[in-house]
Amino acid sequence: MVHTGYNPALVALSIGLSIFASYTALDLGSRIRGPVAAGPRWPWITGAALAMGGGIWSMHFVGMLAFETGMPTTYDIGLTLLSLAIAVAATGAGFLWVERTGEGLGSILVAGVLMGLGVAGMHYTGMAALRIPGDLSYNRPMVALSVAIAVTAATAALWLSFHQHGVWQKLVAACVMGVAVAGMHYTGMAAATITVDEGGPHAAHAMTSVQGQQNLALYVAGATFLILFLAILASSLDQQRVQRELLASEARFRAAVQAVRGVLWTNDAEGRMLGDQPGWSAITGQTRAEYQGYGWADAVHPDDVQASIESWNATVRARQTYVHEHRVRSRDGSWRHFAIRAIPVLDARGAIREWVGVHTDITEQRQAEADLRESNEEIQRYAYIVSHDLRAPLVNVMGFTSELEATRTEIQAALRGHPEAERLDGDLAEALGFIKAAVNRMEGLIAAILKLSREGRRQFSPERLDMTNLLRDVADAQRHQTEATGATVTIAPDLPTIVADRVAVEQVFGNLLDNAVKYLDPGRPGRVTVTATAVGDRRVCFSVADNGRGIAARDHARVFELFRRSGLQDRPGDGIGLAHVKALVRSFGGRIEVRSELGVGTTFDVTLPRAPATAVQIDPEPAPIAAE
Amino acid sequence: MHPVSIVMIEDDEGHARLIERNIRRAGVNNEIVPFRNGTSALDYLFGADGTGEASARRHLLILLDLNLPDMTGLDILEKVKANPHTRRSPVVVLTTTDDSREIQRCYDLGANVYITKPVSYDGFANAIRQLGLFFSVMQVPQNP
Repeated sequence: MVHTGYNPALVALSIGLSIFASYTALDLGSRIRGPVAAGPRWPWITGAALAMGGGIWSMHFVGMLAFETGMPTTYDIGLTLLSLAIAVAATGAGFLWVERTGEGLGSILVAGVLMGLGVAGMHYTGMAALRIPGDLSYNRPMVALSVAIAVTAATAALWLSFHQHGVWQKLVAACVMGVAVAGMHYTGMAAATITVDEGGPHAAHAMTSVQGQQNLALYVAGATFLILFLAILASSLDQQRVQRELLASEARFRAAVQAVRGVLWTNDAEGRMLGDQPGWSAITGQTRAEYQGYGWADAVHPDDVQASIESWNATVRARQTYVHEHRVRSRDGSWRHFAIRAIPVLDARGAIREWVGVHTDITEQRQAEADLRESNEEIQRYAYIVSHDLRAPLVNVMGFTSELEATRTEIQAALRGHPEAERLDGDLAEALGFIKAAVNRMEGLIAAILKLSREGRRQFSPERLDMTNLLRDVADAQRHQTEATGATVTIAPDLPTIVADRVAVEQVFGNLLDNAVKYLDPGRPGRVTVTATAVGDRRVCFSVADNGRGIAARDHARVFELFRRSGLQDRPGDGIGLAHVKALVRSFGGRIEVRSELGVGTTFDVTLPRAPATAVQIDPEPAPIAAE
Repeated sequence: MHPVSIVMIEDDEGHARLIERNIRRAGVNNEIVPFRNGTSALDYLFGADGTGEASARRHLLILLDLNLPDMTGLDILEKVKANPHTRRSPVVVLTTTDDSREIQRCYDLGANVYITKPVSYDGFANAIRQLGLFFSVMQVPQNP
């Protein structure tokens, strides 16, 4: 049995190495579970494995060098490198396991055993690399104890890697772990007993060997410290980058919130308001105690609370984006109209962790819409009243004109034989004729205004319309006019389906087709075509094109005005059709434009929504914001 | 037989005159009591006390225009049909409005006939003359 001892300086160095390696591994390990946005994870896993495995190995190696046997000691290079590889591979496997299977206790335990056995394997492989002139034997209970320490230390290391926060926690954890790793090593060493066949002859040589060992220990330790230092540097640079991105993202977020003039708030998964909500306080004037929990609902208009809750519950069930509108009592006591949009923030398992929402003040917008609606209604009422009040005097004009006609016959009889009788009667007849014609014209105009004002008030009942079939029916209804002029009307067979009011759409295209056939050029055979092109996802443009007489450019806007007509006035018409078409198209959210060249032809482009606009847009998916 | 009075509530003097002429042309010689506004017509129909006692035991046929200066004819129609003394009197709404909702509302309130004044004189005169002929054969009950 050989008397063995330790070089205290090298022992201290080995423990220092162990702690530093632990710190580095913890630091790199925390990157593994960092935010997804920080890039791929594998470099951090590799780094942590190298730091931890390599650090433990160099601690072990320096510890071996601190071990003084008083004999010439050499190492088998192959086995030594193998022991390093085992350490790195085992720690790498442990980190990878946790990264893949999650950070639960079970997964950490499996990885800890994996890593601990690897470390123990590394230690005893390293011991086997020892070339000394003697026999090496082990005390089995001590070996078992060293393996147990290795497994415990590795498990603790992994647990700390994934669950510690902050620099001080990291430091303490690194110390505990470093000492544990060193403890495992020296326990393993204590388990070893070296028996020498012959002593003495190598004593002089042993001295130089000790010197050489010390130098080697310093080289290994130096190299290890350097590598660990570089790893920590890389980690801290990455930390700075992450922090910068986080700050930038926070600033961007704040700017975005301000840009939408919104009020930001957060709710827990059940809709309780927790913590500080400065935005909410600012609009409602509620104190923290008041809005805490479900207290925020007190600021919502009593008439809107029930609908808000129902819509909220439906949203939570469907895991959708919450889109809603309600009134909120503002600081000054007035009710303001808000549009709400809230997005569920999901945790790693896909459960809703919290809600982030924005209240946007749309009071002015709603007010403007109401004003617009009111003023539209007023115009319609106005048109309606005016046309009625104009009608009443017209009845008198017409009525008494007819009474005058009756009187005229009596005058004829009374003046019979008078020299001026014929002239007087002629004058009366002419005057009465003009009055009657003017009244009839006026009656037509009033009827047109009434009709338009009624269209504006009509309730649409949207239904699914196959436009090819609908337009063929419309064209068929006008077949006799079309055939009389020898024209052909072609409806494209592939017109899309839209959802709109059937009567209104028939009126629009009936008018356009009627005009197209009515104003053809007699000099060439008439051709009218109806085609459609998609405009974005939600709209379709239907083009009614003819090769007729065309409309002069200066009249393009005028043709849509009430009672206005353009070009040669050789066809019957009262100048209502296109005004009516435009009012209809606009009332269901579309637009109509004319392209025309005099003498070449006219195309009316009617752009209609595929379906009536709905107030609420439903997002099909919850926002994929993953939380750590 | 108790004579039937025709109460004509019509703010347009010209219309009133044309109506009267054409009713007479149909051979209807009943008394026509004209009113130019709603207030005076209500005074006549319901009396100074407003109870409607004034119209008890009268035989009345009411010709009613909807566009009156001081109230809408609907107010008068509603009151006439709600008062026990006047509700049996036939009410003929004769107005320029041909809005379907207005027509529905009048019949809902208990109007007996709704006629839109045609603008063409021949149409108008014809309609009133036929109305006169209709008056000459219709039974008007005594008010309770």
